[in-house]
Amino acid sequence: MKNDYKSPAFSTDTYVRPNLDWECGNLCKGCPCRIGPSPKGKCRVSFECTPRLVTKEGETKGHWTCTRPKSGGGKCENGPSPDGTCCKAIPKCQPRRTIRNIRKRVVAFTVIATILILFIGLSRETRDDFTNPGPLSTVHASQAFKEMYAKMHAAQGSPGNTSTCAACHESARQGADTWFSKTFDTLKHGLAPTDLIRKGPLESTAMDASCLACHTDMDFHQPNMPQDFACYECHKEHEGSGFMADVSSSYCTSCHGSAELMASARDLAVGIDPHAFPSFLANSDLKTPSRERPEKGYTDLISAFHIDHPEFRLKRDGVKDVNTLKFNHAVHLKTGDISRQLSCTDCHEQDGEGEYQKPITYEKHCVECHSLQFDPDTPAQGEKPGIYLPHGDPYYVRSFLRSLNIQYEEYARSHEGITRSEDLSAYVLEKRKGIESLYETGENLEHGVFFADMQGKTPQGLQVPFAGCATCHEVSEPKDDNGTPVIAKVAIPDRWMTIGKFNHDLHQKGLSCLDCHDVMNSELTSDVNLPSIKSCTDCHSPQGGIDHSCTSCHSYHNSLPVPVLPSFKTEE
Amino acid sequence: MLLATEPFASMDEKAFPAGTPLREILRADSAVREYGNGEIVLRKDDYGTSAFLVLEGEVDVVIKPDIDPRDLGRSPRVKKNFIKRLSQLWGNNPEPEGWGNKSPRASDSIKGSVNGKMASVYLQDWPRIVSGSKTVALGEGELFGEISALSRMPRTATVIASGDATKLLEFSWEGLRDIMRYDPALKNRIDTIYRRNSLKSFLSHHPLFRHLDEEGFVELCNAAQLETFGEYNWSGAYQRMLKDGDPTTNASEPVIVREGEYSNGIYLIRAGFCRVSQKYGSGERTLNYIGAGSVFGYEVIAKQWDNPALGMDSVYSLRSIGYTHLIFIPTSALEKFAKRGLSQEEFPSSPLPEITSRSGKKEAVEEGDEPPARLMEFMAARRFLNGTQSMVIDMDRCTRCDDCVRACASTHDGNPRFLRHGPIIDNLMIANACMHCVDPVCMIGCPTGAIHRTSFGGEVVINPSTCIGCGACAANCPYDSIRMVEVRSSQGEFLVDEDFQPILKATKCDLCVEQTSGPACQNACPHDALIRTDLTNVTPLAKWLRRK
Amino acid sequence: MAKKEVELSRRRVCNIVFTSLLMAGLVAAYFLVAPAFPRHAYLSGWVLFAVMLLLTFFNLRKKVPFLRMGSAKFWLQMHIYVGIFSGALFLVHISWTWPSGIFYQIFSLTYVVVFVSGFVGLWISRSFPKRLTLAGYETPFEKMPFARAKLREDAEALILTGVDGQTAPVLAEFYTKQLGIFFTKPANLWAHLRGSRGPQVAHTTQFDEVQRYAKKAEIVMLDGLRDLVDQKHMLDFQYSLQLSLRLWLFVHIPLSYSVLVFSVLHIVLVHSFSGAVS
Repeated sequence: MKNDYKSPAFSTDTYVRPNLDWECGNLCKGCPCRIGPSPKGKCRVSFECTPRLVTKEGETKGHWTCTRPKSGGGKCENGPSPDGTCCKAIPKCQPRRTIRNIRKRVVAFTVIATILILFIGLSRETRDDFTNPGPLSTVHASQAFKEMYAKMHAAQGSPGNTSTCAACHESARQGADTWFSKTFDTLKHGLAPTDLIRKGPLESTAMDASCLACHTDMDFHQPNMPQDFACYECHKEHEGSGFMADVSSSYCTSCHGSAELMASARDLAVGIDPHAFPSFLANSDLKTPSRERPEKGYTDLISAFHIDHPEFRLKRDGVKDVNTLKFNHAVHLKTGDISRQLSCTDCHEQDGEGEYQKPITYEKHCVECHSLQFDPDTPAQGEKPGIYLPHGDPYYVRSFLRSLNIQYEEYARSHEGITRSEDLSAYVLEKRKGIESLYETGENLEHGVFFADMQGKTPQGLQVPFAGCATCHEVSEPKDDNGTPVIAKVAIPDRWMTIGKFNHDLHQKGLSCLDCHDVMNSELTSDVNLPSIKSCTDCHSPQGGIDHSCTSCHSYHNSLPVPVLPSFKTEE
Repeated sequence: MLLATEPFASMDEKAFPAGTPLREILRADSAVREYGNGEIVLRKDDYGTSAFLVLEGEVDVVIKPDIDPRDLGRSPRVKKNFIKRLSQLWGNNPEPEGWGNKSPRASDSIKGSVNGKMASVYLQDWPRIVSGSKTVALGEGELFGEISALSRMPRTATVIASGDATKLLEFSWEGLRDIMRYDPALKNRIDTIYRRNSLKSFLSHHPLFRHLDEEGFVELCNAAQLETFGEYNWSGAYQRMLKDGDPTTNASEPVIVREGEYSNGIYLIRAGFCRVSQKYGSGERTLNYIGAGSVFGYEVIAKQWDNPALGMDSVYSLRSIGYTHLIFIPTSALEKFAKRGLSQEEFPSSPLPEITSRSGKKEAVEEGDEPPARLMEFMAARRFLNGTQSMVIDMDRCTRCDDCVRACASTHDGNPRFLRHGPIIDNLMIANACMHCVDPVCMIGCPTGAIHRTSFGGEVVINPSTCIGCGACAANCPYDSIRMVEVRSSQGEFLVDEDFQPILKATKCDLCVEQTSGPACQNACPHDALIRTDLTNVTPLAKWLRRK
Repeated sequence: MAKKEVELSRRRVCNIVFTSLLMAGLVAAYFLVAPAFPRHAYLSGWVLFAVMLLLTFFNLRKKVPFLRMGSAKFWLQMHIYVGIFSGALFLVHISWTWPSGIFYQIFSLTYVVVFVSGFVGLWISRSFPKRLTLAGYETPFEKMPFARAKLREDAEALILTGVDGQTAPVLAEFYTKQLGIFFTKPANLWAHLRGSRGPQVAHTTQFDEVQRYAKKAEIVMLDGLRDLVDQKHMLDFQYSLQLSLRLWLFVHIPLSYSVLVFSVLHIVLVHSFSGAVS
């Protein structure tokens, strides 16, 4: 470190004035004038002194003296010229702005440039692109959407802009001159300080009408909603081009995970007709088992699928299949008991979409083994069928049995090639005799056909060589003398779970039917062999690694149950 | 002719050495001045280096109550109210030194009474002004002003000439000193007056002697010895020193007490600075600089009283830096008059640097925390120890942004009152801003009293309306803190007198007395690089240097 | 004097800890608490706006040193820590994602420039003073033209006395070519900023070269000229660094006003285009 820093030589007689705006133009040369520029930046030098006329005693004319002060150099050598003007005129300089002043101007310029940028950006043509905070999703960004909105807007005859922004935003419809007043309005209600610290979810607002203009009837979820939610609570726009992001589970759990909201929903549900609550398949043609709406509705608190989503009601309530069609899965799948090894897909065929299975019908899936061939001697031959009982209406079965002669005759003609009437009669007679030997009487035949079980035994003790209708069906005595036995109508539900949806196609890889449907041990008809939620959470969880968002299975948007009840709130 | 008048008539000329005969002294160091009725000879609280002898006529010394300072040319001490302060935001004149009609000329009360050529000020209608006050008239042969001249203390009273033909003999300090040296009668006379008035009032406030009664004080004052060291007119010598080259420590600082010498009394410092040092290695290590109000030599004696077995040798050396005025009280007088068993607050501070801890206790500064010797030497050599509000700038933090200068300008109608430049030692700069010295050399010689202190030991300020631009203060100031400015009108034209010469006014830092927020410069520095600090005592600076 | 260099003052430690805690709390709040509050971006936005106004008030406070509004020292410390905090607040406000959209990108970029320039300014205001002090030749900025003019006068006087009509024009040429312009205005600003002594060494080399061809008396003159050249370099160093200490604010201050103007439009947009509009 130096001992004593030697500063350069400069005059310390005058103060340094960094607060001034203008400096003498000769300052850079090191010789600024005494007086300096005016505060407005005008050079105001003239002469170095103002000569003074000194008249000594006795003099008449007097004598011009130089009055240059000491700070200007003191009296000059030559003195003023005879006419009294100073001999040293100072040439005017071009005053320069000080750094401070330049900075002030830069600030002013920058602010003006900023405002200009905003003006240009907000001009009509560039306004939308300029103010857009983020790219719109694919559909909303498309030209087609813009044209569609313009058409719709024109058709409605409403005033205002028809830009894409205007499709949703009222402020865009009405123009930039309304923005300020709208801002103040929202500051009073909607985005006042108290609103900012209010917990979600976002309530429904007037902007939802813009969504609903095209996406009609998307505002209904359930009749006992504590509050309506904004469309944009779940469907966020301006988040990126491409399709809108999937709805995150947090939006669902913001309500279904809130004890307060669920409690309100429960209270609200009390006065509402249960039929007003839609289910997923309420208005479709699919058959579903009839089920009562649970007492508390669906207001269990859920925070995440894998954590506390309630067990499926089927399992939780131990729902049984009350179907009247007797079926034992275990028997049908185990080897040895049946004629050929069956796999699940032999009966359960995937439907067109790959989501579910086609309904099971006798004609497609049961007939191969359960052929209803009551006479062992009249089997099928190649492509020609044997004599089978018709499946379906018991009246037709009885009619068939009572027209056996004709059936046999036809069989002989087609299968045996017998054409002569005598041969036919003989054939028929022979067959009749065979039947009689098996069944003894026609009554037994009829009775046995309907009431014999798998082993050919009827409840009355009759033994027949035929597994009758009662093998699978519930057969009961005829209602009247002339009636046929009554077979309970079979109603296999198309869907058991009606609140969520499922896609079997997506679950093909690495999974077999048995991984979820425990049918190898299912011997009872009443078994509902649908999995518990645990088999889902094995994979649909953070540990399992598969997407476990609510929207994988559920949808928020429901249709109002048809017919739309005028008022589904019985109380109010 | 003078020799014929008293007191010179009774002086023994032969007692004066051949080199400095009385005649010569009178010729060189004194001057006869004539005063008119009501002319102010001395102002209370002014600093002056002359003593006066009444030759003819009469002067009035105003005792109580004092004359309104405004009549003496002092500026009114009014702090600006909020509106006035706020209006500085837009109301400052954009012209440099654009004083307009604010105060380039003397204010009405003094206008007409300022005689630029004669550089004297008359008190208008002074009989009325002093009518309510008690005055003492001094006639022929009476001496006044000698105490202030000798001891560098402010004038204690205002003295006004009465009658039209008052003639005074003004002595410079050197003349008075020389005469006193060789004329015992004058010396005794002055001594007696000093002891009676000035010394007594000083000692009666001291914790050691406060308890004494009247008689005791008289005895004590008689026992005390007055000593002065060093050059009185140190300002001129100092400036010469600067011009010649680097000012270094004057190796020939007079020694007052030498380490190891028998301590035969205590020294009370009344004016000036002394260096306290101790032998270290083969040299002397400076431990501290002590100024007015300090006591040297007390602990040694006090310890010996408690434990008579201890020696009485001085542990430190005491040297005079520049000019010092000391009072020596011998041990015998101490034993008789000093109060024993002083409490913590009353105990005189040790000569070593001390800080006041948070609890209020005085503690010695830890080793390594006191300012480095280099810095202290620099302060002493440059006489910066004089400053009570010196502007110290830490150049390692200063970003040269000039916010301080701009703040100063905004509080002074757009005109800065200091220059952010000055001597630099390592990373500290002592800027050319008025230090409001303990010993304000600038105040010596002001013809109109425009430059004055706002209170005893207070800020040194210049009253612009009474300043006549003579430049004496600017020339006197050893630290280049006062600048003469050419005053302008509000439109920026230079204001000129009848000779077309620009009107000059002395300007300097006034410590923002009119503002309420203290010095604007210190307040405005964003980097904690600038401080107005008391350099008479090393500890405030040491404390600031240690800040992080 | 630099005994305890690394030790931080209590005040600084307190401020750093407090600001860090506040920033950590803010980030934690964003990740943990904010998802439950759908309008949290408005809240963080208003706080950010208030913070930016507070930061801007520093410049306004400097214009009123006569009002008791707190020392500039306190204001600068507050400005620095609040400015750092505003960075975290900004990141929280934009949800850690750089925005898309023309206006928003311009806006964010402007803020980032202001933020970064603040750090640059902080760095140079802490490092340049030490460099200036170490280098010596301290000169107030407005007095530099005088010092420069004096150096030029002295140099010209030297060269004029040293060169008479009889000597070869070597020295005169040397002066006019190498040093003529050099003495008239500030030079080598960028080199001095970097701390490079290249230009000074270049001059030394040129002097060494020309000295070969000079008479004894001229060498004395050249030595004097060398000293003046060195002084000019020192003066240029002072000029370069002091100018930088002034010029960085030409970025920081104007753009901060731009940020405020942009903020106003932003506030209008996010309110008038929000769902709260009826």
